[in-house]
Amino acid sequence: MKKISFLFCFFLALGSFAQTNSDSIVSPIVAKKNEVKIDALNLISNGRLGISYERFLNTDFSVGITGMFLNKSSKKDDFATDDTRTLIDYQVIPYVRYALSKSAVNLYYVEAFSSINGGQYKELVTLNNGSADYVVTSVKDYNDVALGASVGYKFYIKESFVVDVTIGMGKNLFHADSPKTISRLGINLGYRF
Amino acid sequence: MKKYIYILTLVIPAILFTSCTESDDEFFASKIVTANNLIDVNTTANDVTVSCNFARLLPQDTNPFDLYLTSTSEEFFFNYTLEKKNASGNWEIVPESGYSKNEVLGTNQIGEFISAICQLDVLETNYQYETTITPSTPGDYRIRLDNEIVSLGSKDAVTVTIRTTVTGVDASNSLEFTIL
Repeated sequence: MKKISFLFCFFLALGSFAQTNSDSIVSPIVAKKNEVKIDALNLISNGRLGISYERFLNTDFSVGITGMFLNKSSKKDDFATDDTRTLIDYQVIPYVRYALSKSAVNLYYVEAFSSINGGQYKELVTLNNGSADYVVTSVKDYNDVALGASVGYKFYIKESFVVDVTIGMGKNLFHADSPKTISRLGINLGYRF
Repeated sequence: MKKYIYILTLVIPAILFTSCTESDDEFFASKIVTANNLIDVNTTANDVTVSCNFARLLPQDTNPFDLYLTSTSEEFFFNYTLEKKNASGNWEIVPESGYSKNEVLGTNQIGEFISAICQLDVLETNYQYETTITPSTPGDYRIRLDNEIVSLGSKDAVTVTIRTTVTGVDASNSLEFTIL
């Protein structure tokens, strides 16, 4: 956990120093205010479908929302017996981004996000069959809300196609048995229009 | 080139963190119970016998605890070592070739330790283990035992650890004896 926090701070710092001062000419990208993306990293690694929409308010700020659903069927099947405690079924992530770079073609950004997430968790339950106590694992549902921050880098190809890498973490606030931390990791491929 | 360095600074950690944070909350379903005097050690001039016998419905303060329903395991194990004092007075592990063993109940798995495997009897009421070890050569020997008995193969259920005490040994769970 300490390592992750350290690296998170490192990349945050890296991002803040990554001001680029190229293109004083306004890029045609700026005129395009909408962007849709699909998360290739989560799709490949977790079988999780992540779709994002981002709306550009001005050259510095944008807002967006990401929806992440589904899991690999093997991951769901194994959950009852594997050694993980929680399984996230869905995440809805509204976010606000601030561009750290002047360039519209490739830029670092920082992001504040909230994650409305839900899924399943396991807990130990003591039962009695009339003659003795015994303990079993029980699977229950949870819903929670996390707040967090990310840094990221994106660049555009042919002024429309985007590759967007995000790394961040959030903390769940309300449910004692939900995952304590939520990761926000993605390599998004998309289109700006 | 600079662009690719930028990309790699984020892509590589992102890929690494995906696996790391997904397993951040690893869950080890385990239950610890306490029951004293479950392991016994006896020596003669020729051998040492280690035995362990405990009920599947392990007595506890209130209700008995069902080890089998919790762990779904027909085997529990604990470890011990057999050492011999060498010519310079130091204890060294006796290899498997240095003794013979008679498995009366349960089985053994020999590695760095002797893993004593207690097996559930056919009536499914008791976990049992008894092995007599006969060292091949005379000398001063020492047996040292763990005081935890752990369920084997509980991956799909709850792993049970029984904290116990050993009879027939000193306060450090070891016993020195001489083979003539």
